[in-house]
Amino acid sequence: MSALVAVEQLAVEYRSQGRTLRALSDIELSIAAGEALGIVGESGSGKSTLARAILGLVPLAAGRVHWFGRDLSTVPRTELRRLRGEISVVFQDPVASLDPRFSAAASIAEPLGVHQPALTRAARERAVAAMLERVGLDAALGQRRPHQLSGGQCQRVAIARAMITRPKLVICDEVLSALDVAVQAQIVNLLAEFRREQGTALLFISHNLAVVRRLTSRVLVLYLGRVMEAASREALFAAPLHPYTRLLLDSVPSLDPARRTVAGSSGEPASPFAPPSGCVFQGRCRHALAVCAAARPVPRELGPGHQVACVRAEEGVAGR
Amino acid sequence: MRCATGWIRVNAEAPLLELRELSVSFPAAVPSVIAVAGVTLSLARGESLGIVGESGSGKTQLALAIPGLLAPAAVAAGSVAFAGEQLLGASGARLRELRGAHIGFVFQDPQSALAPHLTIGAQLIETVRAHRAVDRGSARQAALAMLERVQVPDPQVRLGQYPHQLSGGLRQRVLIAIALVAGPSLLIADEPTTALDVTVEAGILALFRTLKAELGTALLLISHDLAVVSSLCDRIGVMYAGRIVETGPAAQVLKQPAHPYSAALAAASVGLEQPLDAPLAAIGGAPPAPGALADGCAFAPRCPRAQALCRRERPPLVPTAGSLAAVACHFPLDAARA
Repeated sequence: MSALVAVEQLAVEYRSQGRTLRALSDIELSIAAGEALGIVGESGSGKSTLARAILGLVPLAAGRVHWFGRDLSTVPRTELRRLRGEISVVFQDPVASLDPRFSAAASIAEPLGVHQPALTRAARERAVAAMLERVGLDAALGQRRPHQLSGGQCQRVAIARAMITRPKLVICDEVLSALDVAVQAQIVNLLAEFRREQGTALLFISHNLAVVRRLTSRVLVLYLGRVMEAASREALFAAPLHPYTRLLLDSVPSLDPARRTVAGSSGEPASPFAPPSGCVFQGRCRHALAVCAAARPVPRELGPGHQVACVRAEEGVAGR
Repeated sequence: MRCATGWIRVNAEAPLLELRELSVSFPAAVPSVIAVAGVTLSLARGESLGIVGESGSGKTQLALAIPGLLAPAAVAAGSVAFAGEQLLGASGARLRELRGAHIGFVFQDPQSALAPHLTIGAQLIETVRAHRAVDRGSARQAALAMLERVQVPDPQVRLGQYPHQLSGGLRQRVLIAIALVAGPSLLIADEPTTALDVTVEAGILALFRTLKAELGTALLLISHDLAVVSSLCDRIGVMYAGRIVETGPAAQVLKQPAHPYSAALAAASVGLEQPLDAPLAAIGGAPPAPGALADGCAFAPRCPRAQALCRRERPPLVPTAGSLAAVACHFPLDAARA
């Protein structure tokens, strides 16, 4: 079965003040129908650029993006418009990503007008009312505009808008980071319910590893635009093989005061304008050897579906 | 005690910070808003207290009210005693003296809290000289020493740089340096790591722990994230709809919460250790609008344990038997339960 989305040897570059920034290099991934893939990494790791590249919103410096087996760069505009009903997106800032002039109901209805123009007005209103109820919003809230809603309510509207065309894949880019912990839990459950009910595939981009663990079955760890590790959820969280994955896991604050994080200062990501030679993580890695600065580690398969770009992965350095 | 900013009346018996029935309201808003509805708490020297609550719970207004940083439209009532000195109604000049010199403040957004047109050095040196009668050279030395203490790499270079040349994590370290450079006895930090990456957050939390141990500064930490608060604080106060609904030692509030809201907040927090087979125990509904504080317990409409009494009568915050904790609930959870 062909993948909903496949990315081959993808690279994206930005130019700023006469300098070139390599935002992504050599990215390979695919998402099958119903699958949930998580993308984790710090700010500047290229997570959001990856979402935009998959959506065809940034030019590619190299590589290809396929939607339903077709090279996105060769799909005609009219066809692309139709396909966009199959792959929808929810962004980080729930208030800013909704049109301030539209009521919640109008925002949710808009994609139906584009993708199912034959639908009668009455049928569209029924679909919007059902969707409002589905995402847990009171019918009266449908008449409000974004500034009259809380951040959590706006994010429910954005999710309703993304799900109303019953897409095969929904891309979520840091959809929880503007929300309170208590509201985050509601949104996590809502996304999990949609996946169960509609079989929607999910590309979930987040710096929050605990949430990624809850929502996805496979995880890609990005650092400075490169894949450090890719593995099943079980392997990644129980037995990570890359020191960068270990650093991310050790940084998650625990609710147990007895397990206070000892991660301490691990430095900050190097400048993407001047990435280090060899392994991009070597400057922050406490297991780095001379060889790590000399040559970039090639991603290797060390278990079923478990790829790691670290020369010391077999030594178990990430276990400590 | 004599210091460069004038006499500060020190009462060794008094707690460092003591709030009594503190309230903050916005009477001109339509409908009028009560953000903080009578908070009583105290903080000892060197102690760390975390205030946890959702957006709109009043935690930020509480933090702003202490050093007199409320918006002009806000009205504060009750009592804020700092080292025995009443701060509500104190003169602007006196509050300016206390801020920085005795009370440091770190805000959520490190981007907008620094002046964009001044170098890091200028901002640190200005802070030192505002509170201590020292020459530029000594102020620069103090600035440099504080940047080193907050573990900013290449502090000499950073002194000459502007805020936009620093990463978010470094800017937050610089803000912490500015807050601490005059040697305050109380640091108020409002969501200091919310805008940061998880790795950078871990570094800042570790820094707070080190500074607390080395400098003995008391910490009032405001956050929506129980995990962040529990990693730093000795004591936790849980805030809901403008009131403290539970307070106690951090481990007790987290592991044996007495208030159903504290329990719900802990259960809704996504952690790495949770089993994955059940959905998250999200709290249904939403907090009441700050203008709409009804009779009874504000959490009752969302509370699985609520009874008629809860909707009729607001439970007072009362100490729980045999412990340092207090809870405002008619039907608190049994501490002996697993």
